[in-house]
Amino acid sequence: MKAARLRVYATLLLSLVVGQLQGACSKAVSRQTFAHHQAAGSNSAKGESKSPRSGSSSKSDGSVTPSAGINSSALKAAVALTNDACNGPSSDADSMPTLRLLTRAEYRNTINDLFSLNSDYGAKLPNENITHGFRNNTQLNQVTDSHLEAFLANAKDISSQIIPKMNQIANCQVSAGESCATQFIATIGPRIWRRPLSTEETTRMTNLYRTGAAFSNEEGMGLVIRAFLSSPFFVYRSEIGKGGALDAYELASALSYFLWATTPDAALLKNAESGALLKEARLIAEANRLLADPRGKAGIIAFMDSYTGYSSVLSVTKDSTKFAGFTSDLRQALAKEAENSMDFWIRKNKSTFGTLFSSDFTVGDPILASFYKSTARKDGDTPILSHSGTSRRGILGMSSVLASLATSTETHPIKRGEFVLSHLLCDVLPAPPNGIEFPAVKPGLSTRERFAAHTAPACAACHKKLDGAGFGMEDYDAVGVFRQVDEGKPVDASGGLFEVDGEDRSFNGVGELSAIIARSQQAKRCFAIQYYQQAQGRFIADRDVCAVRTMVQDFAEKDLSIGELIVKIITNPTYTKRVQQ
Amino acid sequence: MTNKKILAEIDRRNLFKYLGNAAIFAPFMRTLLETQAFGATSAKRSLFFYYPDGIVPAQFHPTTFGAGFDLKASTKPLESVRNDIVMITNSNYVTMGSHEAGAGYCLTAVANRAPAISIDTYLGNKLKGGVSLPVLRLGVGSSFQTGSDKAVSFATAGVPSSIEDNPKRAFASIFGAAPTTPGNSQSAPTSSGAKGQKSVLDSNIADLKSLQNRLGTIEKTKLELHVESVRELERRTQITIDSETATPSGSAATCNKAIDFRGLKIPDNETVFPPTVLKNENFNLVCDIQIDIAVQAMACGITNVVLFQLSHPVSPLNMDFPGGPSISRFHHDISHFGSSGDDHAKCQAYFMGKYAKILNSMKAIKEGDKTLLYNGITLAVTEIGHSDHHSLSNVGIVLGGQAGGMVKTGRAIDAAGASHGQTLIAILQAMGVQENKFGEALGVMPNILG
Repeated sequence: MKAARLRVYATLLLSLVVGQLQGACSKAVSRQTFAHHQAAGSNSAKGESKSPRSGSSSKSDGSVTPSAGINSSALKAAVALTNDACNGPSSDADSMPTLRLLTRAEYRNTINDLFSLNSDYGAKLPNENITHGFRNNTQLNQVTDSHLEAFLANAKDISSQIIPKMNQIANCQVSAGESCATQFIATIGPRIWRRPLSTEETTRMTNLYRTGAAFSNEEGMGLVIRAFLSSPFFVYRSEIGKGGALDAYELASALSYFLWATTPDAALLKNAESGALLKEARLIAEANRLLADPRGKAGIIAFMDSYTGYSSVLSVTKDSTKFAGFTSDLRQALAKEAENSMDFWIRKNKSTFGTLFSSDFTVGDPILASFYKSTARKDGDTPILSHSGTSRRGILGMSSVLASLATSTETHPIKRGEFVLSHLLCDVLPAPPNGIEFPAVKPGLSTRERFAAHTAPACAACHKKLDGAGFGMEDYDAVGVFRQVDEGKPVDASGGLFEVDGEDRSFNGVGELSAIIARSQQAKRCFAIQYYQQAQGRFIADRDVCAVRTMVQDFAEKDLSIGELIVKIITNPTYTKRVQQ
Repeated sequence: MTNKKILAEIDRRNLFKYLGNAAIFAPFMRTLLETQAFGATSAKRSLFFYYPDGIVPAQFHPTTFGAGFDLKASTKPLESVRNDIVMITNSNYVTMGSHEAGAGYCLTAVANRAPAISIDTYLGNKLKGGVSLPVLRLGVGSSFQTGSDKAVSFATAGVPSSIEDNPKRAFASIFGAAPTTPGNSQSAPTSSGAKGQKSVLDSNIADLKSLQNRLGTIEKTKLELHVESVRELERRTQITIDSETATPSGSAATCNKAIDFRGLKIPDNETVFPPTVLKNENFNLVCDIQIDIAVQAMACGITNVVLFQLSHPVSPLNMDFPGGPSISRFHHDISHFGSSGDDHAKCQAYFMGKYAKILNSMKAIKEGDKTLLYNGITLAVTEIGHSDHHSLSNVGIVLGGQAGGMVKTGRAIDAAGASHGQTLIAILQAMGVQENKFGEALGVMPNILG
């Protein structure tokens, strides 16, 4: 144990010596991905990109596209609030115009809400391309033939489901013929496309009806439904803007998909129709209405998964002998715990950031009490797990998060360290170099001893940080159960955070780490940026840095609630304004 | 064999029992017509086989080269096809990085995960004439727990391809109906059919055109890919329309659409994760079903290009599943083997066994007096070399099939440090695509083309 601790300090010293080496190492691989440690893949890193107009690229054919990759310099500047170019709060900023493909969850919710169904049509779409935990990256997720095939197959299936109940949907019978189609196109069409139809579009849909009606009325209606649901106007939400800002309908969708992960409801569309939504006071009022609505949970869950990758708990491989109790039911309950706790803290308790890492209770099924060795109680109808008397606190105490950052049999300090640095502190490290030699596994070593052994000098500068954070979490095992012994040896959970909030901090165990994160200005600023990236479906770009500065600073320094942060994001000019072409 | 004899062997009821939709009639007939007109000529087919997490070089690469090459612990399962393969030693991925960079390189020959398309996409576009699918991409747990940074196949530059891990869905999309048990055939869905589908696609195109007109340079590449996707679906639909006006008259004798699902029941709407097809214990079973689908799709002329992906880089697969090597650990953990690579060699032998199974299945498909394997070319790749070192040199590559006589098999060659990209160029040339450049690679790998 002592030896291992010494090794950490030795690495620390070494890192000073090899400072230059690190520079070389990170330069050489700066375009590489970092994620070689990240097996249990919710949180995959993507290569960095540093285009001059960072955040977008102008190609030789003049096309303009936001870049898909993370921009570490923008991220660094935004988190550190150190961009000399920003003079006071900036309101003069905008984003690149974008078409955003619905995520599988958004697609599922949208279909269910439009047609009062309760199916998962999203599950039939290709998987999202995930980057840094985000499923909604606008450039990595595009319509390939596999997508289109699934859109068409789903649309056909959905049409056969809703034609018999058209009376409920459009208040007419398909057997009535063209009049019902006309009604569907006029009343449901705008709901599906989240905007009014042009005359030309209405005519085209009517003609399509007639093509199918040559076979039967049902066939005609079927073609109309299929055309609506496979259309780019349905599968993308438009954030193109008009006159330099999102139009009222685009804004309604942006709000609804960010906060509800589904299509705007009638009230929101009405606010778009009247243009009232373009007034900031109404936009804020609507945001607060959406946040208070039960559907607000879906937006929280989507962010929670990007931020923590908790849903990997449903799939991460665990050794069935070593962790026999880690059953499918338990995994489901753990995933629900993450969702319900986050929702409870943010929406019900209107918490500030600190709660997410310092709360001594979570919202979870009583079956988790024995697994966690915590106490189950009730707060009204809400099942509470009390962790007081243990070191388990907030997000980093959740087994769904800890188990996802481990192998099938043991903890993975590097993955955990990388998660803390990159996801919670926005300190994205460069990719590892080529041809790393891993020393042989010697039986009888603790996980810490094994991993400490492969900190080769060239890698030490990064591993000082990774190991410092990850080793300090050794008191929770590969499924997130507290432990004091590993491979017969007492657990050494001493760790350190380096250059966080401008200082080096040592800590012992996940509990102390959680306490540091809960109070860290850097972690708060990082959280604000992560939420912002979720809202935008892209990584923060150089052009955003000044525009988000006040928001990020206020969230951290004034200790705003997360709900207040969400409102600040949607009123930020980079959210509502678009570059004019 | 005369045409009469071929036709006499066809049991028409058996043939059409599985054709829920007519999408495959045309290519099907084309194969037959070609066979009737020209004898045994068949299109060339290619299959790209990915297996995860590198190799133990000493237990993979031969020490004797030429025709008398030796097979090691990991490659022993290739014994049954040794005359149909080329073992390639000492070829390198010319990129920096680790699993992610190797994954990005192995089918693109482009370094550092710079945006590029992969060879399956490239060949698929070149060879899509007359087939209903340019590329068939099947996986086994390929989507299980991974991010976009570990993709090996790219549908367009920088955008990972979609890979179907669910054999039931793959079957339905390829053969047009849900799989049926013999004697329990399903009827085709009633609709305005392909013509209705075509009018829906026309509507998609009209929507896209109006968007493009309005947006100009904004999201140009995204919309172009979208239009391409609609065009591809239109192409497939047209094949169906053509076939509806033709009278089918027979089939290649060895094309079989009855896939044995080996008792695996795959529910349609699963809410519990992981779903049946991604359950660890079903890995071997799903793999065998997917192999049958892949081989039959090539035999039936549905596609000329297959991507077959087993798990994914940094694989979370527990190797204790039935039919596997019975090692109760996470595959990527095993790949960091330290002083003894025996367990990892065993795991990779399991994957090589699956590759051998594909080659043997292709060999069992007769095409005139040759076989599907003779008319095909296959490539087995993994994203790194020495897995414990995350090395990107001396990677574990095997080539299989003769590409219609273009490749002289039954040998092991020493690539002497050449770029693996040159092997991809050799495959392009073997497939009749006269390119001397692919990705960042230049020139063809010596000693492959006969």
